[in-house]
Amino acid sequence: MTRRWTTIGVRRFGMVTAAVLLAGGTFLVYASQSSAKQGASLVRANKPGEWRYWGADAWSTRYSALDQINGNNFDSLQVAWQWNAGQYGEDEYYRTTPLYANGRLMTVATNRRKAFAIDPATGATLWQWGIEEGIRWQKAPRQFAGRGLSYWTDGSNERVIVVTPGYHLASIDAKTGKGDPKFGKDGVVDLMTGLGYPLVPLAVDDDGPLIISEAAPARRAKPGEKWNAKTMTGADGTMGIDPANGQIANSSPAIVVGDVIIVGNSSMHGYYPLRLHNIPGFIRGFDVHTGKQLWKFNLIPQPGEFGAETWEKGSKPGTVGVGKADAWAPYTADPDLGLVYIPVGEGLSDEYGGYRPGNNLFTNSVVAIDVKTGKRKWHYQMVHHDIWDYDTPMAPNLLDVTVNGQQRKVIAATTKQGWVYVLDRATGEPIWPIPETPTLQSEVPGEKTSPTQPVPSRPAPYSQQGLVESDLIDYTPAIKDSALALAKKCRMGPYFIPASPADGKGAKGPAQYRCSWYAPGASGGVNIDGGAAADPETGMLYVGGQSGLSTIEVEHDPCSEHRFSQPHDSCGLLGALPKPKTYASADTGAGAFQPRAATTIGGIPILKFKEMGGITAYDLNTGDKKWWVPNGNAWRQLASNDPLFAGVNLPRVPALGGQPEVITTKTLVIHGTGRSGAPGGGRAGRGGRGGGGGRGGAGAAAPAVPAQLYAFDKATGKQIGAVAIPSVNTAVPMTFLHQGKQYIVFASGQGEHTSLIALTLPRK
Amino acid sequence: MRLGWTIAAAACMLVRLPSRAPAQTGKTSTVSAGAVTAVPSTLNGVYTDEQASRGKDVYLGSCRSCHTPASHTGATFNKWWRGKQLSDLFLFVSTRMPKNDPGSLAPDDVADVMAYLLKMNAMPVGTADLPPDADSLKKIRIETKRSSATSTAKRKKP
Repeated sequence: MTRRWTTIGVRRFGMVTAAVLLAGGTFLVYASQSSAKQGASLVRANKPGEWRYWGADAWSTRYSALDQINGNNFDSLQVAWQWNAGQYGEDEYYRTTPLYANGRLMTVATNRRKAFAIDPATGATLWQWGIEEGIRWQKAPRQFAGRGLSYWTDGSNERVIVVTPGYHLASIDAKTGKGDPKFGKDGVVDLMTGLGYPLVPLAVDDDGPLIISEAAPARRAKPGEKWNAKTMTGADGTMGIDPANGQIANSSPAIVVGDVIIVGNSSMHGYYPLRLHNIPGFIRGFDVHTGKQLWKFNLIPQPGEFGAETWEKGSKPGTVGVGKADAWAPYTADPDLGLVYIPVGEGLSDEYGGYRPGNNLFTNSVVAIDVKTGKRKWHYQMVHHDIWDYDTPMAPNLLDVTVNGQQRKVIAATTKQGWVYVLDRATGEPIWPIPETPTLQSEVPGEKTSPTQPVPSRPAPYSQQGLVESDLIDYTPAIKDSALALAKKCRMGPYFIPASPADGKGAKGPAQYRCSWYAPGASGGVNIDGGAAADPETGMLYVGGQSGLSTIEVEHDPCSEHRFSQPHDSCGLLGALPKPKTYASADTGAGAFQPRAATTIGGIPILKFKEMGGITAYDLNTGDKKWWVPNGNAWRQLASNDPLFAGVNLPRVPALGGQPEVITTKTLVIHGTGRSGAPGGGRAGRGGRGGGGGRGGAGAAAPAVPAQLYAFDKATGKQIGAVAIPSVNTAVPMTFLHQGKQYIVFASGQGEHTSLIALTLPRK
Repeated sequence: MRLGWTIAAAACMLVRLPSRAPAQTGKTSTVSAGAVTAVPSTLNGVYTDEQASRGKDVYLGSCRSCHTPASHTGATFNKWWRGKQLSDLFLFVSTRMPKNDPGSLAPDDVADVMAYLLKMNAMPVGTADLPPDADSLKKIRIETKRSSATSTAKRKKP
């Protein structure tokens, strides 16, 4: 029984019944009206009232000019329908933002990343599309629905563009759900071709997924190797890049600019790498009509290309230390300038760069690429030689603002670093100074830290930066002493604090520390869930992020080729190195859990409360911070029964962590709390247990925070409304006008309990 | 109860855990070999299927983006946790995870995700949920089938 890669194509649902046809007829009439002079009516490549891009429009504003849902009626929003994505298959957490164009809602769902069209009025499935990807899917590093899809139209033809977990590019007719026969092969282009790697038959030695980061990989099949259906091992006929080179995958949609589809890739996770090289990141342009590859841009520049010298030991694929630099977030474009803006991830590995001395372009950069030629117009590297897992996680936002009396076309990149980098989007020049600032140097053997990092002078950060003495609680001298004693257990500094060697062995003898403070950490700042909405009418930027404090240390994984990584033991995993002779047997229960330092005393955070994380509003005309609210506008009162805090008036602090997921409309900032927003009760698929009072159990119980969607006044940040929702959103919401009604739709849930939830106003 | 385990968490974090399991588990492992079965362990059915199912949702929502289930099983799980108390795992997840928002999981969610981890490690199912507090979990030792047999054999030696 050979598993083959085949297109299973369209399965029309029984839902294509008279009722749906009736609905279809209704929207076809509507569509024919709305699609007249389509090209002329587009704003930032989006039709007003629609949501054609992941971030609403090509500028990734997440802005809609709609105002039917406003401050006067927000609280009366009702669930219009709930589309059960889980019935089509399991997912990780459902992180998709759907699109709305020309009368249809379009989404991806399930860990196979199937595509669907949905009737926006009823929530009925109109069509679904998917492909079987065999081993390519089984060993895909990003086995989930992903963040979304893309849309193209010339005014009459319409296409939905999907990049699958197994790294295929599909062009689907938005009207029928069938693959475009003129695009690639039956609507599908194999993205593993065209990268310079030959494709080989693949095989597996186990029936499970890839184990983070790269254990239990697929391998090249042996000559004549067959599929064993009983053990689910062997060669199933799937062709792909030889896994000895590494892994390549995808998690975010392509972006369409004119007739060009711009596609990048994700890499494997870099926490616990086993091999010293991996596949580098690429950006490619494809013709939307044919699927032909138009150009390829190397995110790790090759010899002779701009930036190659920033890889001091070489940059060719297969070179030790070369790999990743993947642009896994959604992209942004300015169709008028003909530029696409690529937020790029970090190199190999996440927290140790000893094998890749140099600044490592174009890691941790925004790269502006000419859509027609694929050539670099400019780049801005936000972190040199990253060893903090500060890959760029979010589509940057574009805005036109007036700075010091001058009209400026700007790009604002929100990052894990807790800063917004505001640049001229035509040239890449900073709008406000971002001086290269001396930073702490690593004590880890072999690590060559960049002597400086670019530190924005404005806007102010939205997340805690490092840990210095003045950050610590000082309610009483005794409390200050205790906090300082605790803080000094790990390496402190204002930002960019390098990881410390967990074994205490530094490059020049004993290290000063075995751990370092880590703020922001690997999840930001802004990460997958957060990011900003931009108001093109006012120049305001609303950033959803988090602020936290953790520690970072590196040590040798005894069964990895890497000298250092996050503490991990890969021994015994398929594909890991054999156990060294000195290996301490797992059966001794030696235990690797050795916490370095707490972030609380008596349940009270050692960090002073600051207005960070949550939602921060900036005026990008001036760079000023205008207002701030915590996620969900939820607070809790700190309390402790530790005698150290007796008699101290403790402040209230945000009740929720996580990253608010923000959009903005004509009058409102709308946000959901995101997947970690509502403890217990807000999680899809479980009974409402109410707020567990988490936050490390710090002090008094947190209030139960119900699953809600919130609305704030754009100018002041004052809460205008909050409406109960069936379960918390797990992705950025979107909004659109369909048949005269405004809807807000968002993804929710995880596992088998995933859905899209649509809200609209009650009938009058 | 919450304050209790919070302080326990802080104390635990301030004092580095001994690196060897026998020292950590001294209180429960001082029993004679014959009484080993009387020490509650993860082999005694300490969570329910329903709890593990809830825990799977927590896992998929909050953990899976960084960890695959396989990275919490077998040798890796043994190395980190075998011989420790479930309270250690509870405090670790409560205070260190998720990576940059440590402490953001509610105690109920932590207990549920622990149940899912136990299920992934083929621990038997019981009739009651794991309680969401460190004091109660301190009484339960983490054992796996293979390591349990090994450790029992070791204890039988003088």
